[in-house]
Amino acid sequence: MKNIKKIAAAAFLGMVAFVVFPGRATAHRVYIYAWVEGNKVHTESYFSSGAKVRHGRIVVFGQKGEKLIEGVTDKEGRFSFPLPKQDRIRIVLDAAMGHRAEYVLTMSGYRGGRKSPAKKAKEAETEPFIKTSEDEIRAVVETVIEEKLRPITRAISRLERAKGPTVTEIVGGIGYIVGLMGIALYFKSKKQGQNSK
Amino acid sequence: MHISEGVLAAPVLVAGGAVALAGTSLGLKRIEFDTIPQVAVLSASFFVASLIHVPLGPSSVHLLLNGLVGLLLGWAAFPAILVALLLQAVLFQFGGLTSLGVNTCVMAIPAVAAYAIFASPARSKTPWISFLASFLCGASAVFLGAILVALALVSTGEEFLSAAKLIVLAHLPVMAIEGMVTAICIRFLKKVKPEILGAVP
Repeated sequence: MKNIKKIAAAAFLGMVAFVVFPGRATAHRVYIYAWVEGNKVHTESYFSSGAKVRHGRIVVFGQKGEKLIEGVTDKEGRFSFPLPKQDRIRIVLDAAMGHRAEYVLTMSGYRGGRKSPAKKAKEAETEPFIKTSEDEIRAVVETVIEEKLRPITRAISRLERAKGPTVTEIVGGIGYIVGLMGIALYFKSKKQGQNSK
Repeated sequence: MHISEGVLAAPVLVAGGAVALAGTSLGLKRIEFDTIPQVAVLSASFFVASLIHVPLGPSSVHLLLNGLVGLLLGWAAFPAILVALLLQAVLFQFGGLTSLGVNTCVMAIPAVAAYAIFASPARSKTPWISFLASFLCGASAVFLGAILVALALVSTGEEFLSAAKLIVLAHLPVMAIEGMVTAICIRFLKKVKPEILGAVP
């Protein structure tokens, strides 16, 4: 009985420690995801525990490794910047304490929709007989598609958030350790057998 | 306290790898036939411990258990921790393969240090001495690990004191919990299977 009381007291102390020292996330891994909306690039950073990366440093590199933009994530782990002119950018997140992640964003497919379709439409009104150019049609279509796809882009960004380790992986890891133990025992027992001969 | 790939400079990675290799080979030599299962079980515990997240305030913390591993295994903590970290890196992408050596050092050096300091007081027959020693063992192993991470990060240009402060502060609750868990485990082992504490490689 005495021991149970002691263990209960210890457990209680442990819980008190939890409350007294509110800690920061000590997750293992950080993730960053980026997507393009309009002419802005949005990024979202989070730890493997699901917590957002607050005040994480973000550096955007261009194709040749040159530094383009630098910034800090907000409370929601987000950071947005204007779409750079490069076709391929590398976004690196540094979340302190040795946590780092990067995301490579390719722009193909995002280009071309820069011109405002509304303006184009106005131009078309004033000169109704001029045939609408291919570029203008493309601009309008791209804007509409982008709007329609926005929820899907968001959904993918949510899905791309890797979940924590799965049970299969955990059990698999333990299996590996047991296997290694078996190998070690096998070799040691062989050695012992030789020694006793 | 897993340092990701691409954070550290090459010399630090190489040095970490060399130390980890030396420690592991030394540890492997110390493992006897009878202690192999014990090393494996503690390796598995270490592997799983960092997956258990305890919600704490706005974020969560996880156990490390390197103090307990050190206390029970001594130098054999090196191979045990190396294997666990390797599997974590391969299966969960925690840390990374290039930083495996450094990460092993960060966890295993405190484990061996904790063993050197607390192994005999933790095995004391006086309950409170044993309890206190195992508590300190668990807590100080986390503390030392935090200091080692800060040291490794100096190579990236971070200032040692500010990095150390940040990491130690973040791990204060972990230290308290680790201490309690280690102390309770040792207490339990002393009652149920005292021979485990005796058979240290």
